[in-house]
Amino acid sequence: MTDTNDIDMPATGGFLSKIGRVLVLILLGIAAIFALGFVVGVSGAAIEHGHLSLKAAGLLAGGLAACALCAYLVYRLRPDMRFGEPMSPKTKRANWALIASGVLGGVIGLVLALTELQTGEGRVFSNGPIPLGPALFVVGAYVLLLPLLAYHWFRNADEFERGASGKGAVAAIYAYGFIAPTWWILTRAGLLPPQDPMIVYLIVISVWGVVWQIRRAD
Amino acid sequence: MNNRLKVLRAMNDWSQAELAAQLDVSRQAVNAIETGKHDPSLPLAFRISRLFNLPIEEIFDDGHE
Repeated sequence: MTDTNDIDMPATGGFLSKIGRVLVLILLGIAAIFALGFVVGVSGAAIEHGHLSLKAAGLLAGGLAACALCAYLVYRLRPDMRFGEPMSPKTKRANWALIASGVLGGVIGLVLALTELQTGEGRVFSNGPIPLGPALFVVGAYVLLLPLLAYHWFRNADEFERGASGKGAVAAIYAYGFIAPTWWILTRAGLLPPQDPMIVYLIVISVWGVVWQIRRAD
Repeated sequence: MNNRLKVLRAMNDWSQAELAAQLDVSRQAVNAIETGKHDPSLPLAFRISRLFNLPIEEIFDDGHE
């Protein structure tokens, strides 16, 4: 027997509120990554110098507080997830593929961040050289594991989820089709620096993610 | 396309998640069909039809007389 309150989903916001929530969640995610990078940087410097000054301890505490604040806000704004609700095996497998992709992305980001700290670049998306070991690890994980997870998700996601992802992918292709040639022309006209593939990648992948999540939101 | 999915679900006292699990889709998919955001494919429409033991045209209405 179902609780009558559970028969209908709660009232949902309008289209703009959905976009707003997705954008805020993305910004909070980026802020959390930067705060985490800041914490890793301050900790790394403290370890390198062999002691933690009062100023560094304050910065570390501030960074950790920023991480905690971002995590709390993400928790408050999270999409409606009902743990323990009935779920078909295929949906569970699709969800696990998404979670595993997120964990893989986190591991890749952490390896890149630690490598950049070691090489002294201090930026996750720098274009500077990196050692062969971390490069092979990151490329291997990205090229071998991510396609397997993506295939697993695609095999198990239902038609609505695949459709939402597909609409995001189409929007991303359009975004790339506008960004790449526009930047190319503006570079040739001396108005922009040479095209940075990672910036283009981040914009395109963000468009995909935002449209996908807006389409699948209640 | 209009449909009676929400009414039929309520008649069976099922939550969206319970219906979704029986149809082998996500809760979001059921919500999208109920709110008209997503028209189900023929295979999914047949699964819905079999689950409620009703002809497809008694569940979905494309607006044509």
